[in-house]
Amino acid sequence: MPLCSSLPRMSRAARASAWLLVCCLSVAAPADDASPARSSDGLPPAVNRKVDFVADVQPIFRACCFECHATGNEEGGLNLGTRSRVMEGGDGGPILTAGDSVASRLIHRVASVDESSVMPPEGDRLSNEQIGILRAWIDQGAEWPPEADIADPRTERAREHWAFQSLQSVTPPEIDRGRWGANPIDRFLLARLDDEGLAPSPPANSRQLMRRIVFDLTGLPPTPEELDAFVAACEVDREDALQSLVDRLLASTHYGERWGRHWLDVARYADSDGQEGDKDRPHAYHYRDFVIRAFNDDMPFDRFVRWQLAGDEYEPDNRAAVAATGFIVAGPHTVLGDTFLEEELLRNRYNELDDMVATTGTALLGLTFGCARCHDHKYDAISAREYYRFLSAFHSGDRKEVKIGGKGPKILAFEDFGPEPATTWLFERADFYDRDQQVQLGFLEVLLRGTTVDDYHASESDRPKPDSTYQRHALAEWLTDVERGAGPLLARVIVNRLWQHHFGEGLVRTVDDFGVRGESPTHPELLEWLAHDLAANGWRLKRLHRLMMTSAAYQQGTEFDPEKAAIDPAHRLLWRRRPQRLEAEALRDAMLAISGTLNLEPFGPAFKPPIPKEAIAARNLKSEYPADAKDDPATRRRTVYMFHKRVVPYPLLQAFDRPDLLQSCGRRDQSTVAPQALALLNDPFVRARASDFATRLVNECGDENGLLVMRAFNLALGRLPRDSEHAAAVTFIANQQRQRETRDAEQTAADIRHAAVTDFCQTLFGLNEFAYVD
Amino acid sequence: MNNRSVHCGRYEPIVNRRELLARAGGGLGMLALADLLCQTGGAAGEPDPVRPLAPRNGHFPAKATSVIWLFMEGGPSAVDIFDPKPELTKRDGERIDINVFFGDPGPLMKSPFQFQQYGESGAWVCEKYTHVARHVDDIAFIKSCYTGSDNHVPAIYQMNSGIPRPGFPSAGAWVTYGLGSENQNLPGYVVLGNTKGAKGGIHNWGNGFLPSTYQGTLFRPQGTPILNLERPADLQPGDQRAQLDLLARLNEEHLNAHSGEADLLARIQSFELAYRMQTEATDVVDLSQETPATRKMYGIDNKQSRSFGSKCLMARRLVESGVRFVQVYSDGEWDAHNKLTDNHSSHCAATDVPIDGLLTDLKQRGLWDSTLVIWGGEFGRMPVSQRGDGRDHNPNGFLTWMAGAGIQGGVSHGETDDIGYKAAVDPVSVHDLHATMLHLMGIDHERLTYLHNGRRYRLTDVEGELIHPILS
Repeated sequence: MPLCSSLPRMSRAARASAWLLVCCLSVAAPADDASPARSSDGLPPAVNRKVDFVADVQPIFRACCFECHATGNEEGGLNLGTRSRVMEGGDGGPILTAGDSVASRLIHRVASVDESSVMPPEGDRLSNEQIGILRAWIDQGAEWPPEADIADPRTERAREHWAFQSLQSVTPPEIDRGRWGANPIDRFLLARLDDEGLAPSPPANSRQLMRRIVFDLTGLPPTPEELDAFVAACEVDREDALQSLVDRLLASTHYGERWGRHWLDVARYADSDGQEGDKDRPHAYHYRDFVIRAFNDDMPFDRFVRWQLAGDEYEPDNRAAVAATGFIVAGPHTVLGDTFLEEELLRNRYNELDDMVATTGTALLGLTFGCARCHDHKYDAISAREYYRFLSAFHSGDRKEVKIGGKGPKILAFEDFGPEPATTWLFERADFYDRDQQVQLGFLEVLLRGTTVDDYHASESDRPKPDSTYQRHALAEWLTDVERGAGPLLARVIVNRLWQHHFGEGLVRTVDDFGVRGESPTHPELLEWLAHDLAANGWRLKRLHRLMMTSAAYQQGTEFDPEKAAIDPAHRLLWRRRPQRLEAEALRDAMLAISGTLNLEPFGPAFKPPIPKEAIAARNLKSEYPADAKDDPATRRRTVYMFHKRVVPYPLLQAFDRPDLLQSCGRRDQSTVAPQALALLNDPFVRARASDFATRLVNECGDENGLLVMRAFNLALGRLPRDSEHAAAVTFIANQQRQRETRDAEQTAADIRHAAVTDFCQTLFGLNEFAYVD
Repeated sequence: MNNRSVHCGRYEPIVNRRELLARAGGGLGMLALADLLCQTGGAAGEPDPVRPLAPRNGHFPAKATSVIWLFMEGGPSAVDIFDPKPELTKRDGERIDINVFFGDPGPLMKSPFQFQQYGESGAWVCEKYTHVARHVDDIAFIKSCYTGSDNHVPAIYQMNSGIPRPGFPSAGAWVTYGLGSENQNLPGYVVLGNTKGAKGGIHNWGNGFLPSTYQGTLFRPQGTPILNLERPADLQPGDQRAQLDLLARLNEEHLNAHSGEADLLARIQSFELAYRMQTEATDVVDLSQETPATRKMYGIDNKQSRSFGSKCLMARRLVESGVRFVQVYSDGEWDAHNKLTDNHSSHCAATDVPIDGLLTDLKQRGLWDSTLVIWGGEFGRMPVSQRGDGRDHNPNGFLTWMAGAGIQGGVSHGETDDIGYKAAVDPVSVHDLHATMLHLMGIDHERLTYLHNGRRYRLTDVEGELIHPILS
């Protein structure tokens, strides 16, 4: 449930918990009128049976008292979570005398008839039955087994939270309905659809399907020739054609370029420091290349994670492993001179460490750690102590440009200062001058199953890099430990990210928030099954891509049905395919590909495309953006290789919702605003690609406009125009030729035709069908 | 000083629950109901996805429907402009124990400028700001501001977004997210930038994690104001009209086949809007449509004040056209580490007549009662000298003023100490400034929220108190 903020001057925590209380009280028994109201001592009588603390008493504490009287919120100094604390009492002294409920203040407070002193202070009172249970428990000696202590109800709640559970092996529902019975994914989805009385949609035609799959896996459009071949192959054996298409694309470099880009958003990767100076990072691209190669090589995702946190500690001589630690240092950074006040330097240092902690938490675990920088997280079981223990992993090192064995290229990486961990403190309220409480490396309690941090430390013999603390190594081991560590959550989060990119939305829509405040999965068992499948089969993502893309659900058509939409307006049950909008990168790459000018050179230093001078609004940059960048083959590479300068973003990408890459971003905004239309109408890059597209068409089709229009549709949209479209396009080109002839008398006929065809090509780039893939 | 550099909007001191419910007025049920009703964060509910900038009502009637924020980048010195300190003059040359940004503090340094009292309120203004001085009875001076960083860029980010780091939504983005904008053919949040470029760049007017619709749009002071507003060289308006007609024609069948996708219609409309924007945005920055007398009133006839004057006049034209939020950056920097006399004299000369012109013009055009004008920098300057004749950054005490809609004129709120070093009486944080600005626009700063990565954020973080004495 989202937080409410409409009630001024009220504690958010209290507001939310007031809501919880409503829920709790509404299920609690109403006052029990059957039992006598009061006995001779003026209190409801004790129940006449043996009561059990765990079964009878603790549920009352949990429902009616914990909100104010447990760890995290001990009003009046009272904590009802543990026996020892209950026996201590609160600020007002003891509350309980074992064996004598009449002498116990607890009973008098819950049984009080005085509105101003009765507990709980608002909402329904305890029923006579409940008070009777408490009395009987006290009279019977107030037994409290030690294992029933609840150190922190948040941890307890977290222990029950679905995302923090061990991985379960789930059996797909037994449903066999033709195409929807083969793939386990479909059986889970179909079961839900059946429950709601919804039927799935018929499959998309093979032409639509190929366009969908090719864009999805490579971020590039299929060529008309590839389309024709696929359509023909489908007529022979559709399943076989589909399998081999997916296999072929997964084996292509373009797969890593596409899916690596998704991960680079999560890793908030960019090529400059950001902040005032926005210094370029000419050696950062090794991380980007590592990511692309890892996807292409189908590197097991657990190793992918381990290397990003501690590749240098695992394999200090492996360039890729070291480059992977670029993940830690991909965030914004400032170099402050020594003249700066100490406070400013410390603030900067801890802001950067916070970025590392926050990104690790969000990217890998879908958890928001940031709150715990200043205080225990109010909802998720992340304490400030745990935040600083986690931060300790990064506190002993910093960003550094390194060379492997002193040779080869410089790589922007993370490296510890030495073998000894730096001293880390718990800063109360993020006050970095508060150095009373030292802490050591540690992980989230709630994601430790019978292990402690010590279980994850590498043995002395297993430390090939002696001048490193191996704290990040321990962190990485815990994160990827499926049995007893954070592995299950890691698997759920990445599976969900994959699902989101294939289906438009995650099974958990809040892809970056799997905490107790995040949305619940629409298909929890499916998510569980996928996560389990990933972890049980070597963490191979390509296996999951195949599973998802060969599902009938993925291959559905896009046809809208108002009756189904009335049942499932948010379209969460996947009864059809929703068209997916091309992201900024795919849009740019598609224009290059279709115009025949895409330079497919992979990897290496990033290219800087021309940016209009007036779009470079920044002052005081340590690295200026070049004023003389050209629109030439070197800058017509795929967008994933573009230099992303944080303070000077490329306008076309910025217009189309490229994130600012200052924080981890698992789900991009999808805005529809006029500046996007302005870009498609007037941006020099768009016009130049339209012109290239026109050149290509004229070269391929000669003088015949009718033929040219056919080819243009086929290249841009993967289909031939309908008659009405064809007629409208041919008329448009003719009109534009006439218009231009009358005003540009000096131009050659060829130039005029080229300009008219350019006008047409540019219009194709603006089509909804171009931007949305069915 | 407050060390919390980033915050979440979740944690507030726990108040007694009984008291809290009494305040809420309706008891538990009401509380839960309110909880359910307010799951959307915009002022009057969630923005319409098809028309995200459509005007919406705030939480209560607004005093100001527009803001013009005159951002004095670099940090002007209060003791040299609006807040003279006799004690500082008296102790000129005395060394004190003080920490400054660049180290090596000099002795206390008196202001090089003469001051005079103006208006019925008797506000002091220095000899370099005599035109602005005419308006002191309409201005509320806030003399006790403080901020979190003494480094320019974090401090500018903080003044814009409440947080001294990039990546958080700016105040203008929050306001347009909450209220939309009156004119759909122009951006809702326009930035008239420092001609030298912005320190920290576009993140100063960024949307952060809000939808990108709400980011500030940088207008160029000359030529075509917005990027991509200018057609490619060989395209005439008729060509583009024909392109749009073909586009609509070809989109039609696709739209019919995709009736479930609201986005597609919005996208078709966005092209028409973009087409209209090309005319309207070009028009609104065309200052030749103003009389010579008006241009003179803004100091455009004078070389020194031409640039800032043009931006002030453009700001008025934008507000008149229904733009919600306009930020006008001063050119260069008030960052007088040395030669304070020269620096501040020149910046005063660049802005004095234009601000006078703007305030006068707003009054005579009936915009005064609907426009909030804010003047201030990201921090102030030290009472001690630097490099002999300059002053270093001072985040501990500085001055901001507000005027126009909803503001009590002739008021002075808060004080720094006797030498102008630290806010001493009624300190005002950046969050307080933001809370007050939102309040004047009809927004309760605690209720304008956005859920991002599991946290419900707001412009004022978990703080912000209204500055009641300056409200009319």
